[in-house]
Amino acid sequence: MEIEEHNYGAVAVIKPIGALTVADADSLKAQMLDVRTKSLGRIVLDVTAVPFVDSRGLEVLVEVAREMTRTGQTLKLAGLTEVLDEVLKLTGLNSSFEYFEDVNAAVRSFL
Amino acid sequence: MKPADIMNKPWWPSSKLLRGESVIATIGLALAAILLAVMGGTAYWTLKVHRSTLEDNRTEQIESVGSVLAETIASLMSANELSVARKLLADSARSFDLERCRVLLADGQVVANADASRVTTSVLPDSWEGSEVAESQVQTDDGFLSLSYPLVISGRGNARLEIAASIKSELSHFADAQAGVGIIGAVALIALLFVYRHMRSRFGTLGMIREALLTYMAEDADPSTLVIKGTKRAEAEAWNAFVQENARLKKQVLSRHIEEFIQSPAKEDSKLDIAVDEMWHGLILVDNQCKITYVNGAAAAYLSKPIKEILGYSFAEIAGDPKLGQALNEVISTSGGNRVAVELDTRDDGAGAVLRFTMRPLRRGDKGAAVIIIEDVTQQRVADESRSAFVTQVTHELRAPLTNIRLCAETVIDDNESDPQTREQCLNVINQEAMRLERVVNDMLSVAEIEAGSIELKRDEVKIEALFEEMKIDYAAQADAKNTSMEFNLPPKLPSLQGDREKLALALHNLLSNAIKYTTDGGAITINVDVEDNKIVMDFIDNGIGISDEDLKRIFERFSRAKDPRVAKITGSGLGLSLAREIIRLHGGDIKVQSQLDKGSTFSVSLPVQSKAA
Repeated sequence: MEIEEHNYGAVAVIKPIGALTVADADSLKAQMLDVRTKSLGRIVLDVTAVPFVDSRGLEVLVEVAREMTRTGQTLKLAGLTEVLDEVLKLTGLNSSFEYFEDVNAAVRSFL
Repeated sequence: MKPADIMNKPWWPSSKLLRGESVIATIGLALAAILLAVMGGTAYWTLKVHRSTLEDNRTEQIESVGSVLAETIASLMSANELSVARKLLADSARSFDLERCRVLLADGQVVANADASRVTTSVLPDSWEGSEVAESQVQTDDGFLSLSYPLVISGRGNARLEIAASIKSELSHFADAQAGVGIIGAVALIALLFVYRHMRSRFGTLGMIREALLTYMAEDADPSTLVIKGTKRAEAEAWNAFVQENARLKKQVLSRHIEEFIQSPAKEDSKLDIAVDEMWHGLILVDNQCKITYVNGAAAAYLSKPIKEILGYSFAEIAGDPKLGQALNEVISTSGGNRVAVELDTRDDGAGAVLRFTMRPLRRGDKGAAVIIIEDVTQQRVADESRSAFVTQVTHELRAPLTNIRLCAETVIDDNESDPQTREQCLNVINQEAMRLERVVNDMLSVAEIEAGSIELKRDEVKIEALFEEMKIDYAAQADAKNTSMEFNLPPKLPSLQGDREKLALALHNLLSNAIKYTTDGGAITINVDVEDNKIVMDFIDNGIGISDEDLKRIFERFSRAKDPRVAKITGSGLGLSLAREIIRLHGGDIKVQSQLDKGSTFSVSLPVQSKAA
């Protein structure tokens, strides 16, 4: 899985490309936590290019969201695919994140 | 299976293999090939042995006939019974299918022959020349057997009996055997087809299960790919039930695990602590000594320290900036209850933030404890700065052409200019500046559309070569004014794109306009267009001032302009590249840049021929 990182103003956007599975979940977590520390929580996860998430991938998303919740922040997901949306609903995790239609909308939420 | 199901099943051969049947088909084909090979080999070997036996029998028969005939004919000729000998020879040749059957005297005369026309002497001489008694000879040549027997004719001389006959078995002799093998083969094949059909019915589902598992393992796919569709066989239904149950259990375990995971933190925290930790803003309480007595999670994150390394320490020490300590001292030492807000900008190369610290006494009018609220206003600050820069740039962009238009219009109207050349020059300037204004306004409108997420593409057929022809004309004057050469290298034929012509033209105009603007006098601009992997690739190459590595990181950000002092002297809103990239991406393409300071830049645009314009 490839992980792209872009800055939209003061907001860091992390974009994983490919299935989020046990093979890549921990590297994504490390990168997200690193960026989150540097940007003081101004972070958006662009999931438009994530076709599938396994249990470890879900765990990592929850772990990062939980870390952010401890400091009053929320993990913002942009461009949720149907599969990911269904997985989050089925596992009851949909309330752990904030959702935005696209990256621009997520970035604007920091204003 | 119900009879109706059997009736509905397609009869062999099926026109299309279902998922999983390739395994059964492979086994069936292998069995058929082995069966045909075994049958063919058996038939060949049997026929070969049978043929060899027939040929041996025939050889033995002819040798026996030859021996008896030689003895009998010698006796008859000794008794001068030549006519009887000749008849015996003819009868024997006919009865035993002999090709040649004759008696030669030692001097070479043919005295008897199955073919009577070839007899060279009608009577048996009393004596003849030649007394050599040859040995019996047997010769086989290409399925033809030749025998020669010596005859001793008493009182007359020696002679020789020659017999020749074919011992080759004709293929037609084996027709029955071939027919038998063919019938057995056909019956075996039909039986195999029935067995195959039965196997396909019984084991097809197992093949599907195997392929589902292989797909699942190979593609790291969704577990739902394990479900077998298109068959209602008991094995498939049992397998599907197993997969669904497995998925349900996995979800159950995952949900329970995550539920525990979510519910585990800080059970000992009070509800107020939990509520304060949920706050987006940082919250710090300090006592009258400016020592921190409470800090929430957000404040700890903003201060980049764990809570235990903050509690009990002096705020001034933790905050690290003297003006924050002074502001807090002011709040604590005065009884006015005034709120003090201090902004701390720690931004450096993309990291850091702008934090606003708002401090006030814990109770109005009290001296002593105070509360500090920390807000992250970085994005607001960045947006304000960008808008401010945008307004400055746009004001300049609008003012410059407007000033030119006003001056030229005044020249033409107020001075009642009568010189046609001057009037034409003024009108040209007005026209060019009006076009420039139009582009700036279009950029601003497009940015506003993209910002609002309301940009819409009008799909149409776009001919790239026509766009470049227009650009060549539009920018010729601008390039000439800077003594810059423009070279357009387009292939003879380019496929059309499906996209928004106006938006694509805007993106490409921005790229060419930038190339001219940031290329010094006497420079060269080359535009190479080609088709690669179903994509139109356009390279805008200039040998201008180039872009530093630091500026390259932000080159596509809105309102971004390079920090190079040479760039500051050139008008620009900082929107062109951002806009170009948004438009190219909306068409399913992308734009990349390579640049070296003082050497030039290359902007590469790729657009799919079948554009996915939204």
